[in-house]
Amino acid sequence: MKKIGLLFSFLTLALFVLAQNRTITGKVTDENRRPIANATVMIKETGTGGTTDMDGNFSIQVDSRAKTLVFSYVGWASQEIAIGNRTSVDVSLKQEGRSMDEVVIVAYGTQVKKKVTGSISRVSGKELENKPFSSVDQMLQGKVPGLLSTSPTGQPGGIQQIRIRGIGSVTAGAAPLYVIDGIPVNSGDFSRLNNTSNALAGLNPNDIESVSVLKDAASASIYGSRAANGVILINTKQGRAGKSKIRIDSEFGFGNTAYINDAARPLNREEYFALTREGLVNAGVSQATMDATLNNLGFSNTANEDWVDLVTRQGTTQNINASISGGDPKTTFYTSIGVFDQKAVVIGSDFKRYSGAFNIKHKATDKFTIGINTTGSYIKQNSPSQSSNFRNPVADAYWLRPSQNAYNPDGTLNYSTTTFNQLYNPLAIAEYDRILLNNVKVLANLNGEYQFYKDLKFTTKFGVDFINIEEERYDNPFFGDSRTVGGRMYNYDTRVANWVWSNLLNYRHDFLSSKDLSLDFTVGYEAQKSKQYNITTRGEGVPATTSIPLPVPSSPSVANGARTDYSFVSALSMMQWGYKNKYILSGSVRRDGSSRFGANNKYGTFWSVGGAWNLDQENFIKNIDFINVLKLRASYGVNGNAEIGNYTWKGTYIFNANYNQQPGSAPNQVENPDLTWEINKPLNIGIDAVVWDGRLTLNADYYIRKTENLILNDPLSRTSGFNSVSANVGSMENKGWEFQVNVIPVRTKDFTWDFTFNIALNKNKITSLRNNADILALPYIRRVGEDYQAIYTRLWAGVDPANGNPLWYTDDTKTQTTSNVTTVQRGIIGSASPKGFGSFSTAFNYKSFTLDAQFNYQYGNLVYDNWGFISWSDGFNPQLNKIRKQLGRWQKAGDVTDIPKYVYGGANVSNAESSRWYYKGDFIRLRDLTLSYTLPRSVASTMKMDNVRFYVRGTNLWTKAFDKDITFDPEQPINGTNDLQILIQRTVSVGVTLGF
Amino acid sequence: MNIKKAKMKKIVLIISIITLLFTSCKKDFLDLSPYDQVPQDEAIVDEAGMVAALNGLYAQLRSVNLYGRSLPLYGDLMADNAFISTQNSNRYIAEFNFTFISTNPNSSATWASAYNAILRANNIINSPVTSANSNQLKGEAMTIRALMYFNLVNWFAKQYTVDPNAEGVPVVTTYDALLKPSRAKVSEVYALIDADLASAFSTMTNTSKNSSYVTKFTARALQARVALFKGDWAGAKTAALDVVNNGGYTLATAANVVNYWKGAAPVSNKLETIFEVTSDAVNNNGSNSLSYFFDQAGYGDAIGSDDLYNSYTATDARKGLFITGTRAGQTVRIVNKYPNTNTAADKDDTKVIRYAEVLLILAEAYNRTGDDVNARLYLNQVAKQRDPSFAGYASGGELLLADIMIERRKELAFEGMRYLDLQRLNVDVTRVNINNNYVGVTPVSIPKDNFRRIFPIPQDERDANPNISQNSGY
Repeated sequence: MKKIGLLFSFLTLALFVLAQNRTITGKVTDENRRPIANATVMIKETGTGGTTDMDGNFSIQVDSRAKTLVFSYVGWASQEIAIGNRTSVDVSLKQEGRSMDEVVIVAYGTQVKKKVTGSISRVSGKELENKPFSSVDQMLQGKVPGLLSTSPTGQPGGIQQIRIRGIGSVTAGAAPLYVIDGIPVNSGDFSRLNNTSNALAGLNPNDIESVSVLKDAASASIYGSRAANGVILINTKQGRAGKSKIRIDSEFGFGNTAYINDAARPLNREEYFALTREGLVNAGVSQATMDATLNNLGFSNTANEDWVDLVTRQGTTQNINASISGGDPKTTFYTSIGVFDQKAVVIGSDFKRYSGAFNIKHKATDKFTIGINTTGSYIKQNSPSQSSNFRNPVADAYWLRPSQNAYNPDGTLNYSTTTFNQLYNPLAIAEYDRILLNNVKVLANLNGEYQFYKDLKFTTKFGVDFINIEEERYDNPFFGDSRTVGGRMYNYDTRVANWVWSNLLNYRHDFLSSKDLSLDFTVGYEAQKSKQYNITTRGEGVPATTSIPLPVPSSPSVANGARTDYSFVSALSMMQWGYKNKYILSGSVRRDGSSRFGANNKYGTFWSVGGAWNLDQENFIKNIDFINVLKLRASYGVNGNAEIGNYTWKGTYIFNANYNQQPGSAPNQVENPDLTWEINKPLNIGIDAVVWDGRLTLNADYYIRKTENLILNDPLSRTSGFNSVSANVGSMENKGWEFQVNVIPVRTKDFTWDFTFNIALNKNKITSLRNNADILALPYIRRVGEDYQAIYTRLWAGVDPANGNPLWYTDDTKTQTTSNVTTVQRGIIGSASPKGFGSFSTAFNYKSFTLDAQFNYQYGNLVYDNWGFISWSDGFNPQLNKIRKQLGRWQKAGDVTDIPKYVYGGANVSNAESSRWYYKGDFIRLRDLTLSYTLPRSVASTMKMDNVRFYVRGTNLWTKAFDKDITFDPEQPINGTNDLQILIQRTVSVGVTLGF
Repeated sequence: MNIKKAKMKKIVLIISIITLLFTSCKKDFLDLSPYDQVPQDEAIVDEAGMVAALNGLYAQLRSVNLYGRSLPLYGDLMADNAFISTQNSNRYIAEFNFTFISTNPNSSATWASAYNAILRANNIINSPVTSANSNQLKGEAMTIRALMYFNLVNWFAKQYTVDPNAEGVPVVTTYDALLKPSRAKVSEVYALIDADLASAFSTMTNTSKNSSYVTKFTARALQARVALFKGDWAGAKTAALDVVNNGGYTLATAANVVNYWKGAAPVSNKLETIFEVTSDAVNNNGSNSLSYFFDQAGYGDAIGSDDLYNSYTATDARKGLFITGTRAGQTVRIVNKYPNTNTAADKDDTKVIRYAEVLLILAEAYNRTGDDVNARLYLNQVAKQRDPSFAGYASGGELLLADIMIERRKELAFEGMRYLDLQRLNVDVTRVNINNNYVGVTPVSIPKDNFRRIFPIPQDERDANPNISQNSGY
């Protein structure tokens, strides 16, 4: 007995000892059971391991410490498998981002990519992390075919303009609907005193898990009357069961102006006075007058300021984020904090955001799950004026004379009104005045899910989107806009609160014995109300000192509160049938009612149908080896645009016409009880293909987007007392193509090269207007058959070499020229909308190093030098400085140039609006160049870290503008008009990411 | 089987609960109205509503495009009283240089603002409300409507004295958003003006809170002005004499002229002002006000012409309304009639009609009807009050008429009347000596038959209203 016992214990010991060190074998394949060679198999706890052979087999020794194996291969999603007691582990890896089983966020839920019938582009949170931009919409530039994202200003935290598949409206909003964690939110610029702000800047992009852009009817129409311009779904990061993951990201960068053209440099002292003298001679004044004028402009002093240099500075960006996520099978959580601090390259312009997020999901019972998602932020922003405001530092940089000295001889700032008798000293304005905003934003939703049984689920979600913007503007009493009233103080408060409650019932079932026929059916109800409350106060007569942080004005002149609100109520339903994952048919219906629509037209019905054919599931395609995925899809439907004023249809009297401090009322707008939403009818046909094991991926879409019932200001005879009435009278069309190609030319164990190109071509056309009559909105014209942003202006014909007079073509036949501007007829010279835009990006991956580059490009649009008529004005406003471009002027008979003679005070209206002030907006920009190094897992493990990554990044590093004459950054607002905005910044930054 | 039934029952129960939730939203959830407004058919239903609407009508006169800045400026910039400096903020240059075309923003805005005022007046005049004061209130609205039509027909159409059958402006007396009216004849417009003023004069009283509200004698004074423009000398004489004898107004003394213009508040002492449009610390046009346009601390673009300045004798009290200074390196005569840009407590008001103008109308009416003795009497009342060391005008006939015009120019400078005088006299505008050192380029003579002597009908009006014809030349 003893002997057996001893033998037994020996055996056990032996087994135990043997068990300490054992061999684990297995095979690594892809989802089609093809072997992956050279995949890495590593023991997580020790960092040791091996690789797979040509057949995908591996064999490694493990000891008692080994609990988890990590399988990875560049470009494929790695997996961690718990070993347990096994000796054999097989695993199937999926390609990162290219798997059709990948789950995509769609309207009101998620869907497997194979089953999607609509045109949806997905941007993963990884592409949005740690970029030196304040809001996610800036980062979408170039990433989604068909989505045009442009910065109208370099102000950090400033608004970004997004148009999906062209401009779809004239008077109603043309921006897409944003839905964050299932809640449609208020987006745009709610500031009233600052020149720009962005509601989305309150969402920390590092908290975003993924973004889905819904572009066609099948994907977006379920959002009904608000889906016309596309829908952008943003989902925040959620926790995952497993070991808690801690992550710290940190990035610091410095910047300068992204685009500088020497022709835009302001003149220096010698150049300015020489030019002015020439102008006075050309105006035929006496010597005495000339001397007096020049002296008055500062000829006798010695200052030679470079105002652009004085007004620009080094930009900085700091971005620090920390997050923890984790949980167990019952409860998962994600929480984060972040600080983003950016200073623009122009003085007085900066942005700081403190943000936090907390998402938790808890499975209370096996049927009932409850969750809370909250994200909040606090923003502080300083933004100087833009446009031709005398206090705009960018305008001042170009228009102040070099002889206007910025500082007094004793070193103090010079703000005397003798030197600065028109524009103000921007350094003094930045020092003494301020325009700032503080914004508190909270986005929260409470959601619950009840799973009746496997197939039937009920979801309810109540969300709140709250913004509170406090704005302050202080004008000092010594100089500037409010000098004549003893200084001004403005205090504004704007509160916007939006609640949404949606209830959905979802039924999924696989029919037939073979379970080949799948049904996914949802029916639901949604109600939304948004209220805005504005408090506006202003007072004059502040104390005669600039050292009080919040002075109280002695004579308040404005004190009022205002409210505005809107509501929506909807019933919605979606259905999707699939057969064997080969044929998919989808449909949606939504009935929307809104307070914005006229009494006669309060409700509307919006629907879509879509279909997809997964050819790769067909036998005849399955036999073709090199095709992995081949899908055809099409959709058509109706959706609407409800981004109109809250009370546009009501005829009212408003109490804003006070006299002698008594209340006065006045007619406000013309009543139109028939006013309703604009209707959008998009047709989409698309194809997706993945071939050669994922080496080549192609997505292509063709769309026709017809918009009707455009709300236009139907002009009325002014004798009625009104200018126009809002009525649904026009129609417009956007047609185009979107392509995206991804190629992996090289894919070896150590080195991968990956290349992506996308392009969107859009053609916009107005198809009908009231009586098909042109609407003049100079410099644009809305004409049937033309692009919505067609530019209608006089045609510049250069300069007469004999006398330096300006020449215009008399009309668009370009047969005759004249120097008399009043006889010139206008013609269409092009459009402010681009013909094509997109990006090309490439990534090189060598062992632990990666180099990523993204180039964005745009072409076919014209941009407008709105203030060129002052900056190179041929002598109008001669007391304002000019730019170097002016030096190309005509000086003597025989000179061939297109810049007229410089005459002090101007002559022949040479700076009249014409094609002279338009440039081609074509450009390519190196948006992002990142070199990163990830510490090998083995090294990281020894530091007890999961992931350590260092990187150097350049943003907006290089810009090529194809029109060599363009004097400003080619990235301009959607309407193409340069308005002396804060200059866009080029940044170089370094960063580190630590994952535990 | 039973389990399935139970499941189905459960599902039905839950669906019905959810359906109840669906319908739980109130019906008026979608019926939202603006918080600070009143539906248009509930706006004027009692006297309080009429008073508010009338205040709104006065407030519209303060619009930048009407008496807030444009109307007074047109009257002097387009004549020979003021000029735009070469150092300017790019405003009113087309008007000063006579280079405007049918899309001219300023005159188009004046047209639209004037008709907006007319709409406000029409709604008051046509309202069925009758109460203790409704006649007074309606009378005030009628007077302002007449004033608006007077401005429209003089700025956009030919003069009555030149051709009363020429095309005038559309006459609109009720609200109809879709109306597309054609132009009435100049004589028809004047017929409405006359009817409105006569009706207003007979229904209003003479008492008012202050000079910023219309009274009986405001209508009478305007009747005198309108008659003068029609060439109805007898009618002008009757109306002006009534104001002089019964209005109770007085002229400021020479010593008080500058002080009078310094005062920013409306007066109730019947000194000088018969009617003015008032701005105050809260409601004013800020940097878009008339005063800001003259003030060198503001835009300061508009400067008084040397020629006008030199026409005042050294002892003329009105010379004190100028400041000699420099701008763009030249010596200039800065206009100081509206000095309250910096005053925190109140802002300058725009004078619509003053007692001095009525006296000058009376003088001219007498002269035109052959009575030079009385003409000189009233003319010298003004001239000698302003310049105590002036002996008085002694001319007669044509020469006296010329002197009256000179005195009108000196007295009503920068109040918007000079160009209208040149219009009704049907003479060329000649800028003899704007400024010795004026460096810019501008026409020196604008002949009386130059098509730009009247504004174009706004292009956007013609685009919306095919029934309206354009003035020739545009």
